[in-house]
Amino acid sequence: MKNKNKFITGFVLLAGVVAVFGAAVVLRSRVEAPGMPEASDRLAPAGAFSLDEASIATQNANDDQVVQNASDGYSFAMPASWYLEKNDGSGTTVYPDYDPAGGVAPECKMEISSFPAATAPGAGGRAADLNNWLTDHLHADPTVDVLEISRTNVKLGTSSALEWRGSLNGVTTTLVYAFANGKILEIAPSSLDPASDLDADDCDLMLQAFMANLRL
Amino acid sequence: MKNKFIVSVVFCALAHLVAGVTTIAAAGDAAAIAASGATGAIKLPYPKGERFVVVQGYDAPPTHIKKDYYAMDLSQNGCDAYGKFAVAASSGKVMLAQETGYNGGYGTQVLIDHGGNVVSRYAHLVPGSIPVSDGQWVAQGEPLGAIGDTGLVAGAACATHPGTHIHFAIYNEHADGSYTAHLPEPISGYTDIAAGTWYLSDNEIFEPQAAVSFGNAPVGNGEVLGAATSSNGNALQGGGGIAAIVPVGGVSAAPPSQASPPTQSAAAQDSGIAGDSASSTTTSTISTASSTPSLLVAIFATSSFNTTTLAIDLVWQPAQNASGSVAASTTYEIFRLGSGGGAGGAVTSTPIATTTSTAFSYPLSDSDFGTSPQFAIEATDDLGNLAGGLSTIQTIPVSLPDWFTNTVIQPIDNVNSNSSWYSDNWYDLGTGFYGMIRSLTLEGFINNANYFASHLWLDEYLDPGYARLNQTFTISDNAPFTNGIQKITIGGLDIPLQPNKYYRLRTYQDYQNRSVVLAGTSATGTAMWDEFIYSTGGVQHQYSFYPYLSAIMIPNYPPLMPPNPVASMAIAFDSLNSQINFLWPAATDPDTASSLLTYQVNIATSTVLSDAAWQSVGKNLSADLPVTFGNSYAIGVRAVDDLGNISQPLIEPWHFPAGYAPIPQQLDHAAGLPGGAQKITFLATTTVSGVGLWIGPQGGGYCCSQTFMSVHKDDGGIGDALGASNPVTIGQYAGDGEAMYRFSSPITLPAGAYWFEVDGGPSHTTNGTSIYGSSGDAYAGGQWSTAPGQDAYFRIEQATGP
Repeated sequence: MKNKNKFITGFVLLAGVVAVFGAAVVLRSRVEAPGMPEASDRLAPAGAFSLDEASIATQNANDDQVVQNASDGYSFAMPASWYLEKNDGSGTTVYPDYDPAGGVAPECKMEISSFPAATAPGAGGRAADLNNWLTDHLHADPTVDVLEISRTNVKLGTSSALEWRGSLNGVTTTLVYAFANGKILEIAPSSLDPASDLDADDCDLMLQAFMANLRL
Repeated sequence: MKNKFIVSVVFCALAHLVAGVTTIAAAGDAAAIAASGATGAIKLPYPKGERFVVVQGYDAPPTHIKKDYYAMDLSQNGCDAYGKFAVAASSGKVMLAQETGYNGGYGTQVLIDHGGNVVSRYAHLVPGSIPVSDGQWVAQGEPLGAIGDTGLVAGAACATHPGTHIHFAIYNEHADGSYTAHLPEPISGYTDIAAGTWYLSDNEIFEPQAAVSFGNAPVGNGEVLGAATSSNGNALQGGGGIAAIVPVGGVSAAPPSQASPPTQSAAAQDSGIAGDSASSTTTSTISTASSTPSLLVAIFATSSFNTTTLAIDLVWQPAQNASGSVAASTTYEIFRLGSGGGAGGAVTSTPIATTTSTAFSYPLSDSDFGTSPQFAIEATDDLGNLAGGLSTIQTIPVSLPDWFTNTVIQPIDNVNSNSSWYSDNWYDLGTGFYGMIRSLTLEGFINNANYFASHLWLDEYLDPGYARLNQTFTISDNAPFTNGIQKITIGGLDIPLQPNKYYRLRTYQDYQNRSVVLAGTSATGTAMWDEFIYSTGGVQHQYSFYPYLSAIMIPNYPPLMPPNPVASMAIAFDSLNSQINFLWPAATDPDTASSLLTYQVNIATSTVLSDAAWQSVGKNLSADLPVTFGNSYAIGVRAVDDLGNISQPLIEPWHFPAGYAPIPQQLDHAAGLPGGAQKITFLATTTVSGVGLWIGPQGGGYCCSQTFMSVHKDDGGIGDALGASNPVTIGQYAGDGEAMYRFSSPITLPAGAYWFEVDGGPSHTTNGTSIYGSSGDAYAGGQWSTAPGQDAYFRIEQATGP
C-alpha cells in the first residue's frame, strides 16, 4: 500500500502531460510552465525500462513518470515507483505495486490494449458504436462465460469512455473502453491476489487515479 | 466507480518457480515419449526438447475449475519461458486468434478447433506474436505465438514479465454452445499431470515446407493451391474426433521481433514458423499444365513412426476440387519410393495400398530398420480425374528413430555360466535390460560334425539367484549351429525385457543332449571358447574369455504398462458382522505375470476414493471392510504389478439392502434372572432366526416342566412388561436340567418393538427357570460355544430385511 497514497497525492499535483498524436489535446496542469519543452523533446531514453516505440520522461515536480504510447496515441503519468512492463504497439502494462528487484509478486495490474475500430466514431455516435463493438468483442470467444452487470459512461481523463462491469468466467471484472485515434482502447485492471493486503478496493483506487490521468 | 471494481481472483496462480518445484516426471522421458508416437497423440504445447513445469494443475480453484478443470499452467524458471513458442498440441483449425486484449482474462490467445467438438486453448501469449489467423489450418507443432503474461496472471518468478506462463486447456464443445473440460492425457506420453512436475516436450516444431514454394504459383485449373510437407514427424490427430489437418497455403507472418525470445534456441529460431521462406524447401514438383484435371492433389499432412505397431502412420489432407470442396468418392493410392528415392526417387508401379481413407499405416519389417522410407500418393476422384499424376507426388522422408537400430552387445560373464555335456548350457545375462529384442547375434558351435536342431531360449527369472523362473522365450528351435564356430543372427524376434527381471540364455542340442557352446573373444579379440572334457562330460574353462551376444534392441520399449483393471467384483453383505465381503478375479498384466500382482482396496462414503485410503491386501483376491448403516459406499480395487505400476481402479457402488435395518442391540439378560425379557425395536420388517439361549436351573437340578421362549409384540401395556398382545411363541422347552434351546426357524416380524421373553409357563411365571448363556457366542455344532454361567443373551444370529 505504500504506493497508493503517494500515487494519489502525486496525481493531485501532477504536472501536465503533453502527448499529442492526431487531434490536439491540451492538458491542464498547474505545473505546466512556459518554457517547458515540447513533448517530442521530452522523449527521454527509456532508462530502466525497455521500450520499443514509446518513451517515458520524468516529471520534475512530482517525480512522476510520463508514459507515451506513440502507436495508439495516449499518454499518462504515474508515480516513479510504478513498474512499466511494456509499452509498445501491442499495448501497455503497468503494475502500481511491483518492485522487480524485490521478487514479490505484483498485486495490481493495468493492461491497455488497442483494437481497430470497425466503425469510425462520429459525432454523437460514439457510445452506440462502442456499445455494439463491445458486445461483439466480449462474446468473440465463445468459451468465455460472460455475465454483464452494467455499462456506465465514465470520464477517461477528459474523454468519454464506457465502463463495463460483469463477470468473465465467474470472475467479477471491470473493463474500460474508449475511442482513441481511430482505435478502441481497452483498460483491464486486475487484482492479482485477493488474499494480499492489497485488496480490490486498493486496486480500484489505483485504477481511478490511473484513468484520471490518462490522456487520449 | 462507486463499487468495488474487481474481485478478480488469481486467474493463474503462478508459483515462484525457482524454489519449490523440483519434481521431474518420473515415468522416464524416453519411455513416455516413445509411447507418444502413436497417431492421435496430444503433445505438450511447447517445442520438443523444452522442459516446462506445471505451476498450476488440474482442479485448482479459483480458475482451474469448470471448463478449465483440466487446464494446466506451464512455465520455466525465471523468464526462461517468456517469448518461447507455444505450439499446437494437435492439428486443427484456428477457431480464434486474439492478438491483443484482456479476453476474459486469457489475454492474447489462440483457440484451435480440432474437430469432433474438441477445442484447445493457448493463453497469455505475447501481444502481436500470433502467426496464425482465424480459419487457418495448423499442424501439430506449428507455432501459435510467443509465451507471455497477458491477461489475468500472477507471480513474480519472471521479474521483467511477472506471471509469464502458458495456460493450456482442452475442451469439449456441446450442442448448446457450452464447453466442458477435456482431460488432455496422455500428452506427450505423460499421464497424471501434476503441479510441480517438469515435463519434456516431444512436440517438434512444424515446418510447412512447401507452402512458400506454392505461394507464387498462378492459381488455375488443376494447380495446387498450397501444399505442405512435414519435417517434424509429428502425428496428426486421428482419433477422438480430431481431424487430420495440414496447413494449406499457410503463408504466415513471422512473429514480430519483440516476440523473439532472448533465450530462444538457434534451432528454434532457424526452424521458424509457417512461411519462413528463407529456411523452407520443398521436395515437391507441381504440375501446372492446363490439362491437369480439376482434382487437386492429396497432400501428406505428416507421418510418424508408430512404435506400438511398428509401422509408419501416414495422414494426408483430403484431395480437393478446384472449388475447394472435397472430391466425392476419392480414392488414394500410396506408393513407397524405391531405393535412391526422395524427390527423384523411382516410384514403384504398384501401390502399396489403395484406400478411400485419408490415413494409412505402413507396417515395417526388419529390413526397414535404419532406412528412411519415402512415400508418394495419388488421388483419383469419382470422375476419374487424377490429381496431377506422378508429377504431383508429395514425398515425405521418414527417418526411423536412431534407437531403432541400436545394437546392444552384452558381455557374458563366463563364470556365471554352465556348459556340460548332457544338460542345457546356460549363460546368465544379469538384469537391468529394458527393451524389445528384435534380433540376436550369437557366436558358438556344437561339438558334432552332424547337424541337429539346436535350441536357444531366453529364460526370465524373478530373482538374482535364478531360482524363480517367470517365463521362457524361445529364440530358435532350429538354430543352424554346426561343428565349428559360427556367428548366427536370428531375427524376427519380439522379446520384451523388463528392467527388474533376470535373464539367462539357455541352449540345448538334440544330438546326445549336446548343447550349443557360445564363443566369444578374448580381451584382445582372439576368438575363444570353452572346451568340453570328454572324459567327464563337463566343460573346462580353460580360457578367460568373453562370450558375447549382440542384439538389435529397441530400448525402453514397450512402455511398461500397468496391469489391466480388475474385471469384476462380487460384493456380499455380512449383516452379523456389519461388513462387506468382496472378491474379484485375478487381474492380468500386459508385461507381468498375474502371479506377481498385488491388490489394493479402498472404500469411501462418497463416489470419490481418497488416494491416501488405498490399502494393500497383498495377493489376496478378497477383502472384508466394515460398513456403517446409513451410508452408501464406493468400493474400489486395483492391481499393482511388481514394478509399481497401478491399474485403473474398478469402482463399484454399494448400499445396504433395501429394507435392511441393523439389529439395534443384542438381547441381554444378566445371569440368573428368573425369566424375564428384553425389548428390541426393529426399524423395518425383519426376519429373525437363530434366537437361542441356554435355559434351566443354574447348576442343574430340577426345573420347570415347561419353559417357553416367546416373542411378544410390545403393546405398551401397564403391569405386563412382557406385553400381552400378539404373542408369538417361538419355542417351548419342557424338561428338567440345563439345556440349550435354540430356535432356528426364522420368523418375520413387522417393524416395531418386541419383547423377547422366557418364562416358566403359560402363566408367565418363571417357576425358577434361570437363563444364562454366553455373551456373543455363536451357535455351532449343536451347542453354544462356551460354558454357561456368563451373561445370558438371546442371541439373534441373523436379522435381515425382506
